[in-house]
Amino acid sequence: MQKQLNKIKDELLDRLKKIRDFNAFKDLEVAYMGRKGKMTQILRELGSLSLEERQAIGKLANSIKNELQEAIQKAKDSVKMQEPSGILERERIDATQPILGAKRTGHLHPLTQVQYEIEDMFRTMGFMILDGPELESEYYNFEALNIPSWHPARDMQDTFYVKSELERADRLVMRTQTSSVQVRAMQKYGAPLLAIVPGRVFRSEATDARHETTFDQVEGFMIAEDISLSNLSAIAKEFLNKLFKEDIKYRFRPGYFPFVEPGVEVDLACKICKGAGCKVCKNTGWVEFMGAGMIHPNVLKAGNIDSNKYQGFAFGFGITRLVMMRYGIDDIRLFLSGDLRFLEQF
Amino acid sequence: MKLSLNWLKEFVKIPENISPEKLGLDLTLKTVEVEGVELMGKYLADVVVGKIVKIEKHPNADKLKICLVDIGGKEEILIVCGGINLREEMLTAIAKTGAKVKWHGGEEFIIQKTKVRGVESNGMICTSSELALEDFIPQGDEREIIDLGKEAEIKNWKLKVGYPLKDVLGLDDVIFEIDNKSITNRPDLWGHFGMAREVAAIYGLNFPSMEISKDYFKGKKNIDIEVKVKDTDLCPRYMAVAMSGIKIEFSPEWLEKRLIAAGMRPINNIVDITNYVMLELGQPMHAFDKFKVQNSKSKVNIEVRKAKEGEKIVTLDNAERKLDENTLVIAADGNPAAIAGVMGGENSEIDEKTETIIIESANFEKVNNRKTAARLGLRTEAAMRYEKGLDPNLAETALKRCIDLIKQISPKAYVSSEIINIKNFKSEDIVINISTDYIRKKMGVDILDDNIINILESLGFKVVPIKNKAGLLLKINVPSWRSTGDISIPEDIVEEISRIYGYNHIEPKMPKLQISVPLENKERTLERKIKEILSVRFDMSEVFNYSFVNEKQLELLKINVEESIKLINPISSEHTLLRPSLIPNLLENVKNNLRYFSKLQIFESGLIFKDKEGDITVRSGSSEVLPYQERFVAGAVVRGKDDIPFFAAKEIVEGLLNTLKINYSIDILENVEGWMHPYRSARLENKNLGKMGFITELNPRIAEKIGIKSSHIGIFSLSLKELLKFFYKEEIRYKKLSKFPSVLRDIAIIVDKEVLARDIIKAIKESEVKLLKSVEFFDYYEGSPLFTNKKSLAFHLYFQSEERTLEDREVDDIFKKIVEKLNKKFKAELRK
Repeated sequence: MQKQLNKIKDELLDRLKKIRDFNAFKDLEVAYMGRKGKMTQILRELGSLSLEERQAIGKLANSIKNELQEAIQKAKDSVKMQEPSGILERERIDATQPILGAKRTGHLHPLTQVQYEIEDMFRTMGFMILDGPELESEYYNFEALNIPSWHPARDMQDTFYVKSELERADRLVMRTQTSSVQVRAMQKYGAPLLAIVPGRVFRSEATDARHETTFDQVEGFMIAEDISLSNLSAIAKEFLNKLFKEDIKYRFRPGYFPFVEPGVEVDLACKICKGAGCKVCKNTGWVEFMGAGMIHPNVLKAGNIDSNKYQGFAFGFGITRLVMMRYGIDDIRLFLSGDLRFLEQF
Repeated sequence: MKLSLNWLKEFVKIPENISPEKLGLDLTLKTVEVEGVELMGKYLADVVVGKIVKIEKHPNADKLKICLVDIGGKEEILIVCGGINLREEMLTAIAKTGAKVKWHGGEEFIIQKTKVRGVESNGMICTSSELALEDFIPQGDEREIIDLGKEAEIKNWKLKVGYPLKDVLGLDDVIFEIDNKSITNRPDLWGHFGMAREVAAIYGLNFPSMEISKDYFKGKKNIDIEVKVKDTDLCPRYMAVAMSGIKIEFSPEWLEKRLIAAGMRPINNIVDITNYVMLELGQPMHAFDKFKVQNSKSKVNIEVRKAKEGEKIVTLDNAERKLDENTLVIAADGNPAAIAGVMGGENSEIDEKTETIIIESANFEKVNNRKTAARLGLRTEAAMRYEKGLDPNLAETALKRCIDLIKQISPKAYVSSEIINIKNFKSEDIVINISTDYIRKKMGVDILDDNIINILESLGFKVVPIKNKAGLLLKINVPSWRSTGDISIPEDIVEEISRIYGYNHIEPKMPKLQISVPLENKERTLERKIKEILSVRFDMSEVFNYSFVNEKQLELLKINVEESIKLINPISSEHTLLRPSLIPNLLENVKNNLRYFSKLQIFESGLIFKDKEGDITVRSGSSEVLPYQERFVAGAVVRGKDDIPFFAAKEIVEGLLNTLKINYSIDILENVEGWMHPYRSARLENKNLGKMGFITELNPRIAEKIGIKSSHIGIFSLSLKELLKFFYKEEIRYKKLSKFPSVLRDIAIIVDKEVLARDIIKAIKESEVKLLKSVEFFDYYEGSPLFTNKKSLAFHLYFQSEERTLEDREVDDIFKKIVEKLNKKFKAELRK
């Protein structure tokens, strides 16, 4: 029996060497190891042997069985690995071939992309992201911001007025600035208050490559105890460096906005000529980027905030202009064109 | 506004080492925005006086002439020219080769030796605009060259052939262009004198002063003027004086040059002087011809009053103006002679025969002035200054200066009346108390006390420092020219210190704040998620459209125009209404993009507006609310012809809502809007709690009407406000995974087309609540061999128990139960 077993072993190992076809393994496995296989049959005969013999032969048989199973598996794997002329080659594809009927990729509007970038930066600095009505009362758009009806500053912003059939004490306007949310936010949240307001604003002016009736701004404000001009400068610096991903040169100069005092304009070193002077910066080396300043006590008062205890700064800039600067877009009207040839570039 | 450097220098001694560019920059950084610094006569570098010796026809061009020109050199030169007023012996301006001039008054170019239609030309005979001299030498036709001889006669220029034109004109000034917007709040800066004060403060120079000769008032007082100010609120100060012995002529050259430098056209000596004083001090002046405002009476009667309804005046610009009760006028002998602070009347205009004048130097209230100017569309130099709110004290200085100047220029002139001076204002000093600590705290800078005091004093503030326990308190008297509403609170003082100290010297320092997590703006979070899912997962591109539409656009889509809000002052007929829906503009996008693409998927998120009550109050605490304005997200999908666009849109909406874990149900939309496909529309709801939105297709008839060629447009619209109600509500409860295998059975049934898939699925689920785990729709069929009113639907049914392995027989029984129920409820038959 021992001889028989060794014979089967040699036989099988010999046959394994010759096999090249994957299916042949299965046949071989069945012929030797299957229910009616040679190996199995011999093991069945074990029952007729004495206990000692049974133990000795059984041990040998098992080790041979394991050895054979291993050999089969090994041979199988090696054939699988090589598969020189097999099925897989017939599945070869041209990996460079474009996808048939592929959908075009979706794109977020460039304004949205930059807006989200800005929102994320400010959120990490602890600012809330706020909204406000685009169709606003004259009160929040002007009066609450220290711009009474007679104020010449109203001429600085051509305003769309709106007609409603419902009677109201206040006139209605399409907001001319996202600053309109300042006092609403103060009334709702009180101080301390850190917030930015990205959103759409409107001006009734004729459109051309540089002017639009509709564009996007970001208003920001920080109200807390002991807020100073130097804090405004620091936040502006932090934000600008992150936004432009470099140490950007900026400067403050006096600017007039009735809702801040002191009021400043923030200019950036012209990115096109690097400060040398060009058409874009009107030869000054600087481009206007945002208006800012310390919130006027009258505005804090309108927002029910104690201006003796709290101070704050506010700033505002146009995202539309920023996006134009960043991507070199020369016609503002493209933003609202809905033209996919434009939008799919971003 | 334009500033002349020479004029400024009359009041401050600007150090030699400060270049005009540096001065411009420092003014920009500390006071006002200087938009440009320009050398006068910039284009005159190589321009000389020349004499046309001989003119010949050009052989190849009718409109061109060949001119032989003497420019003072050894030889005369040939220049081809198209000027229409060329004549021999004419003295004119010649740009030599190498000169930089403005081509037809526009782009700069450099003159070169060239051939013009085959004839050599060695320079250019210039027009005024080519040398940017329009203000000095008025130009008629654009092809009219400068006739220097004619001009010289009027202006006493000394001309010599070959002389640089720049020397002839004496142009040695530098002009600063100031951005008017940046001095909206600074009435004191609307003249050279005020600007000189700033320059002095910036460089620490002596405070500017103006000298007025002491005997300005001399003369025989034989004219009696009576002024009545009826409306004292609108006219806080009125000063007037008569001057006789006037001779109207052109102003001396130095005066004309100043006016031109500041951008004003010279007219005659008296008008020029009133303008000069305005440009110098910022106080508008007006001069009337005395004989035109006085009838036979012995007195000149002037009344400052509101106009009467129906009164009219012809203003100096030769236009008849209707006046109303809000217009303040200066009436002489009962008739309006000027619109106060805006423009004079033609009936009292100074002309060449004028001998006696009445000079007005007054202060008018800013709000009414601004309204009047706006109503009449007359934003004159005077109105621009009055609307800022002028210092009433300035009227007196200006009147004296005006008299003094007139006497200098017209030596026989003398003051022939008493000075009328009606004051209706209080001249109390504004006093601001502020501690230096407060200033340091607001600036965030350790600026020294002395430094603060120096800055304030250099600007004309009077400062009394008071030491107390808390530190140094400053009692600050605001000068009258800054007491016009400009400076009234401590913050204004902080601004003065900060700007002169230099904003850019303030070191950036991060604020010290308590850390807190910002409150989340849930609507924004949801909107952002939606945008990201639509673009990233469903390959949609985001568009933005105007918030405006027009009537026609809505009518074509059968959208009710009545509900829309109108713009009172639209600037385009395309944009007259606020959009009551995102769809109209979205369809425009589809239409435009279909010119370039056959398939597309776009969406927009934005506010829509309706003329009904919204939920935002007009003011805090008010019961009035703003009109309805809510955010929607809408999309349009154009796919291939084989796809049903409705389902394309539905796939997106369902995918979106499932990703957001928002529960919803979909129902047939019965009452479709006019533009929707009547049989391909659904509404989205959540347990009847409100309308989340809809999914539809554009009605093909409407598509045709609005010029969209493809009739395969799927559309959806979702209300952000409604979605938000369920966005944070979803609660996930974990269910244990079954250890036992699930059994799959497919079912295919034939039903009438009217039967809704949703009802079938519901019925299947209700037949076996416990063991039926899920129902998956996998096939739809209609057509032969089915009857035309029939359809076939097929579903995978998954059965599973949590407790044991299901037996085939068990599942067979349930399946049978389901088939029976479907048959009973929908007359459904199994499809074999």
